[in-house]
Amino acid sequence: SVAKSESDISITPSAQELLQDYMSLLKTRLKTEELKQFALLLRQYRTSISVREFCIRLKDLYREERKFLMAGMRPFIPEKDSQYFESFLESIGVDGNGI
Amino acid sequence: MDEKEALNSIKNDLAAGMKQSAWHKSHSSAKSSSQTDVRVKFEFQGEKRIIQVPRPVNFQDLQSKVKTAYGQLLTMFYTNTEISIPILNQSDLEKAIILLDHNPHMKSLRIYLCKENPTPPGSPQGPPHG
Repeated sequence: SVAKSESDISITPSAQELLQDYMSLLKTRLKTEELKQFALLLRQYRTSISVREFCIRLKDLYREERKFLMAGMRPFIPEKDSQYFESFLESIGVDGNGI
Repeated sequence: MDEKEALNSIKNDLAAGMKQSAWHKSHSSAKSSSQTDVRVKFEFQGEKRIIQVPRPVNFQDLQSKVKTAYGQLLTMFYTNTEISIPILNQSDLEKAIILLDHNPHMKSLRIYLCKENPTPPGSPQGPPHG
């Protein structure tokens, strides 16, 4: 059998709902400029920067009062980076669901 | 980039990450959580009880189980270390289930129970955080 490419994989309905929920949360918690910064940061994470840099810059963007939003990023982190991401969450004192 | 373009970009990149995530793999396989029971941990006045509820979890069914277990209708709050959210209808319950499913560190749906006319979370009579 031929392995599916990323573009061939569609996300499940429950995953779509989760994505919509997180998008709604971002819209209520981030200002317009912050949304643009987040968009840029996400694109850089997909194309060039490391997960380490992504985590540091995301934490700076969300700041202390919104760091719980980072836990909500779990379902969107590629599997290869999930272990680092979990360690980072633990290091900044974010656990459980966060959102 | 305006806000709309930013949001579209965010949505596309989050979806792309999701396709590669361990969470999505575990939730889109044949042995997905949709075929297993949900472990619900109730807490009322310091007493904890655990029950297994088959999916899909129905709000009225859950309320019925609470009434059977405690002899009265109680208000349900979904809790974790950060927040307490009232579960007042099927939609609230489904959101709580989604939060449970997407957190591999949580094994149970934690439900804090209060008598009717609940006080806000964090108040002396409201559900605790964490």
